[in-house]
Amino acid sequence: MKITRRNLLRGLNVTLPLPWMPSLLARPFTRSSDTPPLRSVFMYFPNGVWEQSWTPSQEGADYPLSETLQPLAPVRSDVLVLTGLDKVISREYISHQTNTANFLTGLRVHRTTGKQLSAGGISVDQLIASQLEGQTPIRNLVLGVEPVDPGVDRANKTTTLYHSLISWQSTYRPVLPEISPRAVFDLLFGKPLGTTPQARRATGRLLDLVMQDAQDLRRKLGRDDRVKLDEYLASVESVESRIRRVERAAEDGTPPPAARLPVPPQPPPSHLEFTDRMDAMLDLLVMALQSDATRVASMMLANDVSNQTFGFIDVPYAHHEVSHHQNDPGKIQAYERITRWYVEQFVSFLQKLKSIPEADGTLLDNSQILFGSGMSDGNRHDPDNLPILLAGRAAGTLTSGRHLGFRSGDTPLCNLYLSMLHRNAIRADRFGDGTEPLL
Amino acid sequence: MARWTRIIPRRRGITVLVTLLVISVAVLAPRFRADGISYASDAWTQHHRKKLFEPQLKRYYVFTASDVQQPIPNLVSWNGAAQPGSSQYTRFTPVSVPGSEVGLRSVRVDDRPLEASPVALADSLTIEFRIRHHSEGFVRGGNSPHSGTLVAMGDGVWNGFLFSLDFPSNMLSFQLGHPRPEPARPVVALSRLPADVWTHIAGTWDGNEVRVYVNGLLAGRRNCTGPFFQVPNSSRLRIGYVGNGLGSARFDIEHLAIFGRCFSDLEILQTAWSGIHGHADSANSLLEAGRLLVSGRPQEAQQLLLQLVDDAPVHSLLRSITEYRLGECMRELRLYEQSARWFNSAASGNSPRAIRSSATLEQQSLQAGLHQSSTMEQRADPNPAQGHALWNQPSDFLRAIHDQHRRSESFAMLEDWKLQFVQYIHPALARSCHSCHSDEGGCAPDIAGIQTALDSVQVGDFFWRQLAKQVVEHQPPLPESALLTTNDRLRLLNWIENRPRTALCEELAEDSDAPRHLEQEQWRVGFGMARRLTRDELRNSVRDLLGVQLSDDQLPPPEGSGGEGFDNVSSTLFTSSMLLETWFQAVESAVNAAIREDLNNPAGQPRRILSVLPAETGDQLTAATACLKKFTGRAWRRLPDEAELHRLLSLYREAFHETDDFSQAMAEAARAVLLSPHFLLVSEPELVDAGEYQLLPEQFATRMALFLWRSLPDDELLNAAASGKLLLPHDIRQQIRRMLRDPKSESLGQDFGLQWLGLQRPEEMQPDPQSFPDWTPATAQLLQEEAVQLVNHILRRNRPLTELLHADYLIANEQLAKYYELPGSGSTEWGILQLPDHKRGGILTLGAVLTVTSRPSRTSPVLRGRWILENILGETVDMPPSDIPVFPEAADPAAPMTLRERLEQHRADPGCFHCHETMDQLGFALEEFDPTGRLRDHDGTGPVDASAILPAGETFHGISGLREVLRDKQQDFLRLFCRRLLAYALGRGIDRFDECVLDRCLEALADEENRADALFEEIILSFPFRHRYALP
Repeated sequence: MKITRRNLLRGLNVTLPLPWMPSLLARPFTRSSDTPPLRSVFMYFPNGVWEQSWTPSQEGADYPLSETLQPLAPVRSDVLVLTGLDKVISREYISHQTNTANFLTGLRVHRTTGKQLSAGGISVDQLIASQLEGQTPIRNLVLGVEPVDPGVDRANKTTTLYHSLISWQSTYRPVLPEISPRAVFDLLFGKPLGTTPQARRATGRLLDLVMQDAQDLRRKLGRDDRVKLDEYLASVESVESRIRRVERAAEDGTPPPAARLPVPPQPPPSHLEFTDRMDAMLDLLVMALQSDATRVASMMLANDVSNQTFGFIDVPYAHHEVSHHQNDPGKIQAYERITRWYVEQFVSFLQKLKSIPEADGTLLDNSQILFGSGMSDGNRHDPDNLPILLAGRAAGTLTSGRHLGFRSGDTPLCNLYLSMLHRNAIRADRFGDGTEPLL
Repeated sequence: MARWTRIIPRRRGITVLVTLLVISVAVLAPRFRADGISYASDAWTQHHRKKLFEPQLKRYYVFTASDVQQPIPNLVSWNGAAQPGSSQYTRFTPVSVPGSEVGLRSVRVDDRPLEASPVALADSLTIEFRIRHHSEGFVRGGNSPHSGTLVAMGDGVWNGFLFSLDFPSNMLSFQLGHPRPEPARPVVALSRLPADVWTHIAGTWDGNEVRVYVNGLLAGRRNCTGPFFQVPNSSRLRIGYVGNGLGSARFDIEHLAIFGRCFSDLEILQTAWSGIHGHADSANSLLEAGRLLVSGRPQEAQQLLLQLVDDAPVHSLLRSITEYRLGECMRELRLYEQSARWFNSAASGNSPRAIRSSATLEQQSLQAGLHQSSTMEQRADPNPAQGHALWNQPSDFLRAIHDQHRRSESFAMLEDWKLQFVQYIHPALARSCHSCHSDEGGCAPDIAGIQTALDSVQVGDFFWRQLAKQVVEHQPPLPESALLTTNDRLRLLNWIENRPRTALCEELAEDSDAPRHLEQEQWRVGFGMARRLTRDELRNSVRDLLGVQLSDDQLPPPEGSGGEGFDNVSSTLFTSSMLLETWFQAVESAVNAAIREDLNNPAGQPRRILSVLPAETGDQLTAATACLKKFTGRAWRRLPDEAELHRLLSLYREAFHETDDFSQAMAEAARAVLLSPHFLLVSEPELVDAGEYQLLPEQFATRMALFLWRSLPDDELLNAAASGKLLLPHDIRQQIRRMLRDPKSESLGQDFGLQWLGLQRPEEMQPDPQSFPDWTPATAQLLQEEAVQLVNHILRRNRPLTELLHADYLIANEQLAKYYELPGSGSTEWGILQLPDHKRGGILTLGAVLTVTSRPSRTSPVLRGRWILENILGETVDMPPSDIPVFPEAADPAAPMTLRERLEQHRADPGCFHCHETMDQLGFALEEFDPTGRLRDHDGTGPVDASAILPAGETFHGISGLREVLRDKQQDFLRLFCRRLLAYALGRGIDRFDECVLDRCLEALADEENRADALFEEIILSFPFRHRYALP
């Protein structure tokens, strides 16, 4: 019999066990149950910071928490405060777009309202994801809270897409954040591709057919159009390989992610406002990491230029508006307060990870979690001395609880990424403008 | 037996040419003195005569054949008797036979090529001739029959020139020889040369570029510098064989002329067409017909063509030259009867296309339409005899000559315009502006960087338009020395005003990177790329296909935007696995719902998927085939081909085998249809290898439906496309109007309108709850809906677009009227609400716009001013620099400043002045409206002050004053609006070449009282909307 995708899937189905059963005997790790895997998360918050309230006055382990970093108190021993890191390339042309899109690539953003979108290369989260491909049911997560900002920035002649995303699957292919908690839930724990063998066979047939359609069509298309069709093809392939992983796991008897959680997860409600959506996303992220559904994620807590209002913490301004504080003390205070709120969200996320025991430590101990923004002072859009925190002990390879000040102008942010890559066994010599591991 | 005539001109009594035989000069000379020879008024004669007096005429041959039928009266010329020369050639030696007649017939060049002495040429040249080839080459001198020589001098490779045809592709090429080691590179005509019809061919060279023309139209060009490489004396001028390396072509030739200068596009057009139909200026008539056609007046174009034909004592040969084109033009214009009459009256049976009854033509036209919509494979490899690719639609020919003429006319203007830059404009700018507007000076824009005339072209139209505005409106507070003098100002404005834009487009196109010979018209096509359907298009398509409304939650997340700020730009639309999975689920639920509906309602409404039931055919597979054909045809906007249908059916069969349930198996197949790239992607398979071409009717229909409905074409539109009723402007216009009146076009307000106005996200309206306690999220929805309703009212009901600015009515329902404290209709329906005064009306006073441009607790004249600049006047406003001083909030509590005073203090800073001087003033005029869009008298600190001063010193007051100011800027607004709508239609950014389409849109609007339909028609009929460019 000729082996087609369809036949392959059908063949696998023959040996499928009965539908998955939630199991209390969680087997969290598919490959080796001795050592918990390393999780890497990249978290973005918008519009920079008021540096004087951010940067702690001293370095070392005994540094006093600055005003904005006060919320770190309960987790300070798990967090590194890194100052003086730069993203030099963004100095070429300073704007929200050119500061944000390359937050995780460190390379040049091609200024455009559409043609040839690029942030110079693959982003660090995607690079790690490609290294770990196949080890978890979900390759990686790219999450967000706010919908993509519509429109183009006419003054900077760039699409506002650039300040609504940070993840790049390749130089020219950005990954838009998924903002629906419901969709993320379905992806992680749901049954989007059919639960019965019959439904899965139907899915296999469908994908097989559209794949043939796409290959036929590809031959008839012009050079540029093929790029877009290849995107489609790659997406179909990735859905297929996910099905195959699910099948294989079912075959192995590996419990699905939902079964590895102590409590079966409940689907989130469909309409959520900003703060509730952020909570839901962060919770889903915790569950994804806990159940080892994936080991890599990036998340934008809000788009850059976010004009979210903060009446709920008694700040009467919108975020972006007030980030252009023009040195007005009242606005600076509001600006600082909003940034502090984002730090609070981060800390509450960390606390959840810290509460989950894993091997001899906690989930947080086995993670490296970056938290940062694409600029320092929002009034200047300055890409130097970026506000960066790194939480977790990366499986004991990080000595956290310190403030490390680097000399701004000398130290690329990408050096940090290089260290994070090395901890994932990616032995790169360079990443972005980074040339040596920072930590 | 062929004879030939060589006509040697004399000018002012001086022999221009050396002939083969000295004696012949002596005989000829007296005859061709300019004076003393009388010519008949016959147009053809005049045409010849014109050539004879062309100072740089080097050679002119008119060929005669043995079957002379109609002599040209009074054209004094000679028959040349062919003399058998060597075994290979027929050598033509002028032998004078004064007084004999010259018949207008051709010689057949096949058995013997023709040969004459070489011509001396130097730095520029034109060679033009008329032939009819038979798409056949043959071996000569052991060379391949796959390419044949037409006309050559020397070897055409290392020296001289060469025209040749390739078979069976019928590609024409022209090349100038080039000394070793670099051989000549030919310029190839963009399209194939039709066989068996008379075609005028010309090649020119101006020292820099070789061009080749077919029937007066530029068909190819290539850089070629350096001197002309003269052929050795021993070499020959030959017709039909180059002497080496190339075989021969079988063709008839009617005349050949060689000139020592380079003709312009217009001259070539005239040479190709003048004298035909008895009109000395028939080229001009054709141009005029083209202009009429392009400006949407096909009736008048028809009249003109008919007149051309009717007036003509059509010579049989000339008729056969032109019937091919004009006959088809007329056929396309549905002048079957007239064209048949003309064919009949003029026909002599000489041409294979001569006589056709009107019925046959009708039939043919129908077939042509059907052919257009048949499979791509057929189109991909068109019959070579079908003719010039540029002219797949015959009326394209008229359009093309019209456009070419426009360009060449403005090309001359461009040279003049560039000269003015060097002589006056650059010195004036250098005197007054460069000190600050330069890299070092730091003022924007950088004017000093524009040094040469070429720079001035390359910075583009937009730059200069902005500068003109600045010169008129923004007199900066500068020292006297830096101000432009009145004289310079006027000259600069005049210069900017008179830029020859069409030629600019051409020049810019040449400056791009694409290979030259292929991009003759590329600038008009711009850039189009396959894209997936947007979230809104997916929603609408499922609604129209399946009658199912998908919820926000079921759809993929909203897209970002690109280009001019719309979400349908290919390069900012991505397909991810996450998106596919989301879509997978949405499709599953929608298809299941539709199937349920189909099953519950077997006798009622037309069924969506199960259009045929097994009970009706007696066999499930037949029913499935019928259902799938119909459903796929609608979903994919075309009929599936056999392989595709087969694939779907085998999926169906497997599913049926497994489930033994017709509707379940059909559901599975329908899901496959909707997950297929043929549904999900708007891709236009390319019909040619490279170059531009007109879209297939169904591709065009899809573009139309996505533009006007953001959905799939309906059955009527698809049927029109399939039956050839979507080819003529008339039919297309009818469809456009029908579609605009269809409720589906409400997407124009919902999608285009909200994106254009920047109002997609009502949650961005966030008034401070303490100052505006009655504001609720529902208010934001209401105000957003007001914007949708207004845009729809104007665009869908063919209102003048100027009402977007100055409508004297509101589109409102009771709720909105109440919100604005106006007497309402009492109805929940939206409708026209006439206003007591003109305080409201148009986009300026939309509640949503006024709210979105306010701070939570106060208005922002800056944001409102910026909104007007960006959305009405089409200016860009730069981000504030990072070192701007603190905006003075009420600093001293003892002496509080009003918002206006604070802004004025801010503006006094020179760093802020430039941007804020206009922006704030425009915003002040809207101070009568509060931060939630309602009228007010007081702003909390005192009575509202809505007075404003423009930089030029003009004062105005409030919304009524602002309306007056904007009335003067109406053209700016209309241009910007056209630009945004065109970008939305094309799903891409507007490049500098699209400015030419905008010009036409504005002309069309001016002719039609700015009515919306005119703009939609102009955009949909525009070249970039109907064509596509394939990269080589």
